[in-house]
Amino acid sequence: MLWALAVSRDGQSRDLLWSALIAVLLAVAMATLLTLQFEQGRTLRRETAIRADSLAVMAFRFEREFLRLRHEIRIADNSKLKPDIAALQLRLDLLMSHRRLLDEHPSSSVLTSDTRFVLVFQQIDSLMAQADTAFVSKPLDLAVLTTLSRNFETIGPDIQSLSQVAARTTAKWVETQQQVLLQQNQRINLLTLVLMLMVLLAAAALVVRHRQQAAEHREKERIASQLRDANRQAEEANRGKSRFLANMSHELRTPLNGMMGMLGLLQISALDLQQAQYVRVARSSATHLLLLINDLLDISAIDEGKGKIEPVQTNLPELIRNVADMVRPSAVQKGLDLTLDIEGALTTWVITDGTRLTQILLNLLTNAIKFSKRGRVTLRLHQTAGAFVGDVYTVNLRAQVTDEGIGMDAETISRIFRRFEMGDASVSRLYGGTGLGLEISRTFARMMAGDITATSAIGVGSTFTLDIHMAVAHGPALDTIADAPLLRDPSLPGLDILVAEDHPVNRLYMAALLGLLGHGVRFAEDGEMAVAEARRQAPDLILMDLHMPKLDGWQATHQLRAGDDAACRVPIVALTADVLTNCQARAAAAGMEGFLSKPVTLAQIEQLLLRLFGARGAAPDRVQASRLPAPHLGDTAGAAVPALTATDATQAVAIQSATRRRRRFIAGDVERHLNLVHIGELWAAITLSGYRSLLESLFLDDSRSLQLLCDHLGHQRGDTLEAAAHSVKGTAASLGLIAIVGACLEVEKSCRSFDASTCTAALQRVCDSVRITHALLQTMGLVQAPCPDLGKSHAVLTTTEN
Amino acid sequence: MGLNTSLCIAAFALVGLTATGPARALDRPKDQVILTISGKIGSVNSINGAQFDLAMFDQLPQQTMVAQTPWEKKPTMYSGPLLRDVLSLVKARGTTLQAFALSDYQTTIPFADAKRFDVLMATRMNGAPMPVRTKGPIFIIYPYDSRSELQSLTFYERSAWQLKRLVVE
Repeated sequence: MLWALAVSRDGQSRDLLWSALIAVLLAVAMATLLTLQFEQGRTLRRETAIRADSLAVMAFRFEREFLRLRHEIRIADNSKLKPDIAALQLRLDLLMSHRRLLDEHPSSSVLTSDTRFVLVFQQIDSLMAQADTAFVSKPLDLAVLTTLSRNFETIGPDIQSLSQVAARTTAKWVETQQQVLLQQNQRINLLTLVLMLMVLLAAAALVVRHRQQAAEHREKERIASQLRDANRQAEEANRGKSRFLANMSHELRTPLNGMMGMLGLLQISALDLQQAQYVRVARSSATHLLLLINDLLDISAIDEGKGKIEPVQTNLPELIRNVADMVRPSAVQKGLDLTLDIEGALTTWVITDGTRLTQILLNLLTNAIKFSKRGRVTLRLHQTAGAFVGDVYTVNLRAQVTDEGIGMDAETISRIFRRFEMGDASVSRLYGGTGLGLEISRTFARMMAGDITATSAIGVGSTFTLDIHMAVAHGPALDTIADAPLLRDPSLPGLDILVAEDHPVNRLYMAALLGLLGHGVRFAEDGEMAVAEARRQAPDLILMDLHMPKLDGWQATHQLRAGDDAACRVPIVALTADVLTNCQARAAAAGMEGFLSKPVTLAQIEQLLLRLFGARGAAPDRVQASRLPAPHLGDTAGAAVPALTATDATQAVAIQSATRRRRRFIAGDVERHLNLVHIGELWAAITLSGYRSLLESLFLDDSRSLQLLCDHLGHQRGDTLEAAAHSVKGTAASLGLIAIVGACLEVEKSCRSFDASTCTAALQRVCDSVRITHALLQTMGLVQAPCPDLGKSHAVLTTTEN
Repeated sequence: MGLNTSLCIAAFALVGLTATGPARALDRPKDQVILTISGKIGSVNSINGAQFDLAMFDQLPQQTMVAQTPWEKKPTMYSGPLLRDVLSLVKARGTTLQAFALSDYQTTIPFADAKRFDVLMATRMNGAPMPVRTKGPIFIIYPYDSRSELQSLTFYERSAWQLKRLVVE
């Protein structure tokens, strides 16, 4: 009951209070008990002293001595003989000693002070005095003796009553003492009882308290367990959501692939400008969506510990150029100057996960572009001297992406590598994105034994630095991958390709894609059909979707490889949207020749076919074959052409022509070279014919501004370069020819520090941009004039930059 | 108590100077006999045993002791020879002493008490001889004040006064 109170809000101090109270009470009770015991001890000691000769005994002895003296006197009185005085005297002395004892002894005061006996004592004292006098006088007067005897007889009853009273008094006194003792005893008992009760109470309280604490503990345990359960459930739910997100993202990719493929095909079909614009926007949206979904998949893979790095032999300079090419359009579109700055030389072949490295660089570059309104975005690469790590020769690549954008403060930098964090909430609304990119990039960088760091200043810009280690590779014995797409001579027949794909949209897409490349396509809707079709007539190549009904890609491959007909040796390349699992290694283990991740791009499939079939796999040369002049065989840059395995003279011609001429347009060429929105606006303002005449004036020799620029560049006339570049830039900008603008801008900006080699490089860029732009415009039917000859010093325009 | 103790010590010191030793021939009493010791004793001076008068007691080494007895209102100074001196004088050898008083009081004193305690055979109270009226002529006094364990009925009982006879058994 007490302790029920104690559990209240201020439980602890109350507990303390109660403990203190009980302790004090116990102490008081003990002290009282001690006092009582002490008192009792004293009483007992006093009694011992007194009992040495109790009152009753003293009174009795006194009476006895009185009686003996009286007896002696009576005998002496009655006897005719001479009385024995000495004996009488001794008896009197003894009586007097006992009388004295009654006076002296403390316990006899009850008698001596009793008013009833005052007279008796006076009388006996007087009698003793008479006797003393009588016994001293000699000879003894017999008459006196008779008187004495009579007086002693008279006082006898009084002396006896003295004895009786003493006995009674003693008895009563003993009784009183007993009562006192009993009383004390009772008090002690009571106190002991109280003490016992208090001890019991305290013990009970302790038990109650203990039980309460146990109950509280159990309650806490219960709550903790509930919390644990809740936490488990929450984690479970979270994991479930993550799984759902991953699965969903994965599922989203299939329709998106179809969509992107279709858009890609649409883009290269004959469209009017407005339609091309729509398709471009749709495609860029789809690409963006794919990037977002890829981010989600990556983060899911990382979360589940499935994110894997698959280092393969990679051409590093090509990878870098590809990355730069991929982001250039968006930089140009935002009016940003994208600069690729390679300090020193890069090792060509390295062992690294090219996909991830591309992803990281793309992420850093798109971020830089996204958060910049003006200025320059620089990708600066620097490779430090390698060292042996064990047996492997390893180099360190430092890639720095610097922008002149909005910048960040230190606090923001600390947050941006965390999930869902962007500069701040408003940034997320303004710029969009998943907010996962940097986390993914950094995670992959760290998995590749590297890291990403950032420095930034608000309003000045940011620099993200990727440091990464990679092993140096020897490079393929045979460089079958040309830097530029090869073109197949139209006389060469296309490949017979069997596509096993269950999804109709994907089939349609693949048909269009391969059709565009001029190859024959057969389809199988599932694994079984694929096996049957392949056995019916062995194709040159099977593109095998891994997820199919009845027989999946793995099983179908296994069946084909197990056979002994022509189909068992047909190259099989896996097609899948699956990036989570280690498909590439599995595909190799299953006996497949390669692996294509969906969505498959034209470039990817072309590259694959080139790798597998050389020039036979290339697209037919039909885009510009009719327009371009016959190959200048004398000007051949054959030395720079990779030596192919092909011994076929036709193939060799095809390759040479491919390297000598401007390649066919590739996706993004229009975007990179022409600002169609601007051009459209121009048309609306000055009509199409007005625009045409402007173009003519640029490309015809009227002003010769282009030739002049190239001439200056060719002769390294630094003093006049700036003006020439500026002039061309102005014209090109007003016409929406953004690639030419970019090239001129670069010359204009840095011509003062040009030397021979940079001049040549700049010249090449200017020429490239002019030629491609011209070819595009010509194909579009916007310009009739031939491309101007841009200088004798630069005999052949090649697209290979090495 | 402290005063009593120092008095005792002073008395012992005085006696130490004057003592001539307890062992000496037992004289015959010249005056009235106040105490007769009989029983197992090696030295007698009459057919009744060893008889003493006051002078013989006075010749023995004297001790003085202040003690509070139950029979006096206040602490009193007693003096006389020690029981063990008297017993050795009569060459007593026994286990108990039967004490008899003039008033017919009887009590038994363990022989060992004489050795354990400085038991006094007081012949004088406050320096004056003790007549029968004041518990004389001999009063056996235990050192009650210096030994608290003696303050009990057991020892109070042994404290016989008006002593007339001792029987060594």
